[in-house]
This record gives sequence, C-alpha cells and structure tokens, in this order.
Amino acid sequence: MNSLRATLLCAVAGFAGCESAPPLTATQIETLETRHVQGSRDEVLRAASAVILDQGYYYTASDHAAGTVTAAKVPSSMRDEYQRNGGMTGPVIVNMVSIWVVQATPAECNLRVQYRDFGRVVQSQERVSRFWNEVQRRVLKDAPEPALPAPASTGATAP
Amino acid sequence: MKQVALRALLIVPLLSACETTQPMTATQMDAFQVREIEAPADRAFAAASSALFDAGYQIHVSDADAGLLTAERREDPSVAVNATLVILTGILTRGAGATDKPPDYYAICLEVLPRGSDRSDVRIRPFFNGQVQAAENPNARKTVQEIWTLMQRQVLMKEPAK
Repeated sequence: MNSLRATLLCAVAGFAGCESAPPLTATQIETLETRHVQGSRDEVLRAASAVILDQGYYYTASDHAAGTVTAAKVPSSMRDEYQRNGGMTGPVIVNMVSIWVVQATPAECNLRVQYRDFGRVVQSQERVSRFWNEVQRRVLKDAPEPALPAPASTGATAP
Repeated sequence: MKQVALRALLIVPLLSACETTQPMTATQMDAFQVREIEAPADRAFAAASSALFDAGYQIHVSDADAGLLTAERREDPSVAVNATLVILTGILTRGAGATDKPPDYYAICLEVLPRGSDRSDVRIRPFFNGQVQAAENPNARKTVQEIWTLMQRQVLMKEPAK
C-alpha cells in the first residue's frame, strides 16, 4: 500500500513538472515584438513594406494613415488547398506577418512586427530582429543623400 | 585501396553537383524587379492600377498613400486537359483516386516609391499559386516586363500636352 502511495506521489510530482511556462503578458509581447528605427514614419513604413516583399509575403491589407500593413505567404503544404479554395480570397490558413509603425519621436519610430504561422502567433525574437535589421538596411539605403556643402567663398576673383 | 580511392573520386564530383544556389540578396532582387518611371508617385500608382486591369488582374489590396497594390488573376485549365487527367488518373488508380487539375493563381504585388517630384521607383513582385516567384525565374521576368510595358504605355498616354 505504501509503495502504491509513493508511486502515486512520484507520478503527481512528475506531472507537475510538465506544467508549461505561464503565458506572456500583453506588455511582454509588445516588448518582444517592438523595435526602434531611426527615420520618419513614411520612410520606415516604405522600408518595412519592401522587406515584406523580400521575405516572400504578399500584401493582404494596408492602411497608410494608421501605419499598418498585413501580408500573407502560402506554405508549400497548403498550396493545393489554396488553388482549390479560391486563391487569396479563399479560406486557407496561411502564414502571416503584420507590421505597425508609429512615430515615437521626431527622428525615431516604433516598429512592431508580429508573425503568425498557421494561425498561431510566433513569439520569436530572432525573426523580429531579422526583420528589423532588414528594415534598417533599407532605410539607410533609401535615405536621401545629404546635400553637399556649398564651396566656401575665398573672396578671390577668377582671372 | 585503389578501388576505394577511385570510388571516392567518382562520388566527390557527384556531391558537388548537389550544391544549391545561394538565395538572392535584396539588392539583387531589386535589380530584377525595380524600374524607374518618369512620373510622380500618384501618376505612377494610377498607371500601375490601370496596367493590372489591362493584364486581367483583380485588385485585392490598394493603398495609394502607401503606394501598395496586390492583384490576382485566375487561370483555369482547359476542359480537355481536365477531362484527360480525370480519365487517366481514374484508370491508373482503378477509380480510387481520380483527380482534376486545380486552377492556377497568378498574383502581383506592387510598391510605388516616390523619388523626387517627377520620378518614382516601381517594384513588381510576381507570385504563382500563393508563392513568390524567384526574381531570376523566366516567367517572373516575363510578368514583370509585361506589367512594366503596360504601365509605361499608360504614363505616355496620360502625358499632359506641352
């Protein structure tokens, strides 16, 4: 009887160990998904839209005034369903990315990136950071070249 | 020992043939997909919308302020192809798995980027059945060229008289 109790106790303790980590709070998720980018809202939004295309997603919604863009990508395993269920307008579960750009200071924006694979939110620092790096690279590449300073006048006259 | 060496020599070139191509960088992709057009962003966007209509695409997403467009076109296989496929797969699987050919979906994502007051960059990204087409893919290049030609025609047609 005692050995049965001991086994039961061990089993309970074992199951307790299987408990998953508590879900992240809204603030924690926001911190995980948000990065700062130097630039105006328009520049960052354009760069982020370009990165979305780079990563193979197609736009499914865009609101420039709100600073949001949502895009989707069909996983290879869902390709047949996609073809047989009306394409983009069909009820096929796809992988998605949503971005939200907000001007935080005159020189800096907050960029929030959220990935969803097969309908589930993916909390991946690595993917968000990769997206952020690509956006920064695009912002730097597309930045207008600084105007060259006017040559200082020496006061000398040409011969 | 010589035989082992000989076999190894034969296997090495075979394995090297399995090498995959490197994915393109964003700059390389831009070189294939981005074209400059001599028109302000709003006119370039209008030309792009018009070009997509002309090419038979249905617009799903349009945000003129952001310069973003998504459009899709469906292409159904011919009845003859479908009937042949259903009969053949029916025979081969003894009636258990007769299958047809689903329609193909061609999509385009377009981004118009202003470059000063009278120029814009237009990026055309083609998709096939929901999946992005590699920039170097001949079909993708053909699609980009087709949309680009239609866009240019629109810009020229709407050029204000001087």
